[in-house]
Parts: sequence; structure tokens; C-alpha cells
Amino acid sequence: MEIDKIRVIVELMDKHNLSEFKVEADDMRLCLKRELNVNTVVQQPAQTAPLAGIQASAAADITDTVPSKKEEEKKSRTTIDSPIVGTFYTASSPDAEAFVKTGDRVEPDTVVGIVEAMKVMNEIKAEKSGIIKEILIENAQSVEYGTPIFVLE
Amino acid sequence: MTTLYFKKLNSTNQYALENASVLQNKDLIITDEQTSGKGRNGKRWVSPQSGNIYVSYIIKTKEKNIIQTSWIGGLATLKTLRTLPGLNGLWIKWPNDVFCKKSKISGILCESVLSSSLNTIPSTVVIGIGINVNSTAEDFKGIPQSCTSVLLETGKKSNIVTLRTCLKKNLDFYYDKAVSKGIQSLYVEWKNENKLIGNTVTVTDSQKTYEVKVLDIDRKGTVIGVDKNGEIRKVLSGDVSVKKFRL
Repeated sequence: MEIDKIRVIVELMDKHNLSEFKVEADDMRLCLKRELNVNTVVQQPAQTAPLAGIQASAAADITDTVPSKKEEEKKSRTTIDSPIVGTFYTASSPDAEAFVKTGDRVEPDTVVGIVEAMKVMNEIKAEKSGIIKEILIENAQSVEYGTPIFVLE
Repeated sequence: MTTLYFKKLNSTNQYALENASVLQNKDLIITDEQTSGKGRNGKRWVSPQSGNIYVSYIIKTKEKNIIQTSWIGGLATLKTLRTLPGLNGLWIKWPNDVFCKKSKISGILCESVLSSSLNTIPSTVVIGIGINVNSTAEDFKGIPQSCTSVLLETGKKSNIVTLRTCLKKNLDFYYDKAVSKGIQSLYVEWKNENKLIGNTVTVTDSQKTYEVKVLDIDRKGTVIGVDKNGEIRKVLSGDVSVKKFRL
């Protein structure tokens, strides 16, 4: 993000006496915290560690993080993502077998899980062909719109 | 729109999901008996051939957000049951089961087949509704939750063909309203029928059980409550049961 835009946000926070400002986009995450007249500014790529504990003393201390190799790999991998917000289930019921496991081949029509919200059970289809390389979300965990759940080979 | 009748099915929702690609908008699947009636999270919906209602209503939609579609099921069921004389104390228990006083009289389970190509293929939402109409106390033996039926509440047997016709009409009514005015046109009515606000509820999700006092239900349908530590909690999935009734 351009430094001028961040400066504007910092000025607005000061003007309106806001203590925190967060914004997330596809490739970046920005969190501004303001306590006791000190502005803390951190910018980092999405899906890295939480921001707690990282501090800087002024708005000028902005670090544009160069994406690491691991993050580049994350961007280029093929994933099956959650189409809605809710709770992810690996199986149709607690006693049932998981729809898929690591190493399974899936086709676009293969049901790979369920995401529940407000007692609406939404079947998630792979929508791509491939082999399940990794399952990123455990059973019964919350997911947001677009959260990657499976990595395909 | 077609009504498909089966004397017996494993589950009307299961049939609907398996045949989603050929079923049409506003089709209704009905049966007299389910051998594997489904509830949330693998629970069983006891479905004997006792003169009860077991139906699934099909909605085809190109909307991306389909979660609030379930409001149609709860409101239509409530409106249908309110046509019966002597049946009082009906309300919707979040998100869409219907209770008569403290006991469950209807369970609703929605399942969907989401489309990734909404421009050409709509998603299918299946609203599965079970209503205990002519069940006796014997039918509920062994069920841990408090259940009731129209018969137990009113002392009278009801004609399920008439009641099913009424339910279909009400499902179409709320569906048509949602299409013509948007799903949010149902929000106020649905929220007001949920008697949770002001009550303390126990929330059970797959991770934990906790209590909150319900402050509001927002336009997405999320329950907003405050826990014993004063922290705001938002509930979008899980089981919610009312701890102390202030209905």
C-alpha cells in the first residue's frame, strides 16, 4: 500500500480518536493501532502470523514485506476454498467416514465436505480434478468466505 | 412445480439431493414414512407412519448467499400450524425449528448443492420439514428432547392431506415474497417469531458449550449475545436451547 494512503488513514484515526484500524485485501493485511499518542503500524502479506507484539513508534516505520518463497508457493497452489461462512465438517455426521482423505483423487463433482451455517448444510464439491495433498482445516472449525480448505496436487 | 408423492422414502431430503439436477424450482417431495429421517449433525428425525408431515421443498436460486433461504421454511410451517384451532404457544426456535411452548413440534433441516457457475446453473436449496401432526406419546419414547404433536396439544386428529396443501401454499407465498421483494423482506417477521431476544440460551457447537444472554439477531440471522464475562459472542451455527423461558 502506498505510504500516502496510510498517512491519510493515520491522520483520520487521530482526528476521530480511533484506537485501531484493520483492512484486509487479497494480497495484503494492514493493521494500525494507536495507544497513548503512539501509532503502531504493521503491514504484512495475508495469512502470516498474528500481529501481536510487533510494534513501531510512528507512521513512518512502515515495512513493505517482500513475499517469502513459502508465501509464493501458497499463492501458486491449487486449493478448494469455502464458498460461504460457517462451520466446516469433514463428514456427513460425527460417526460417518470423512468424505475424502489425503491421497484421494477427486473430480469436479466429488463432495469433499460440508459447511454449515444456520442449520443449512452446504455440500462442498471439489470443482476441480486432482489428488488431495493436504487438508488445511480440521473438522468442526469455522471458515470464512474463500478460506482454503484443501490443497490439490 | 410438481408434487412428487412416495409412500415410503429413506429421507425426502436425500431423494431431493440425489435428484437435484432434474428437480425444478418449487417442486415438493412428500412421503408418509421415512426410514432414515435426518436431523442436524447426523441426528435422526423419527418418522413413523403415524399421519405426520415429511416434505422437502426445492428452491433453485442464482443468489450467492443462500443461508437466509431457510427462513421460508420456518415461517411457512408456523403459518400453517396457526391455522389449526386450539394450537397455541407456537414460536420459531433459532434458526428455524418450530416449538409449541417448550416442546418441539417441527424440525427443519436445509441442505444445499451449491453451484460454482451461477450464470448458467443455479444452486439447489432443499428445505426439509418434518411436522409432528398425529404422533402419540408412544412415538416419542426414547427421544431425549421434549417433543409434542398437534394431536397431543389439541386432542384431535388432523387431516395431513389438507395440512400439506396448506403448507405448500405457504411455502410458495414466502418464496414468492422473497423473490419479488428480496429475502430481507422476511427478516422482521422471522426475527419477531424467534423468541430468543432477552432470554439466556445455551449454545452447543462441536467444540464447546456456553451460555449467552441474547441481545439481538442481525439481518444475516446471526445471534448476538453477551456471555458471563461480558464478551459479545456471535452465533452462526450450532444448537441453541433456551435456558429459562421468558416467552
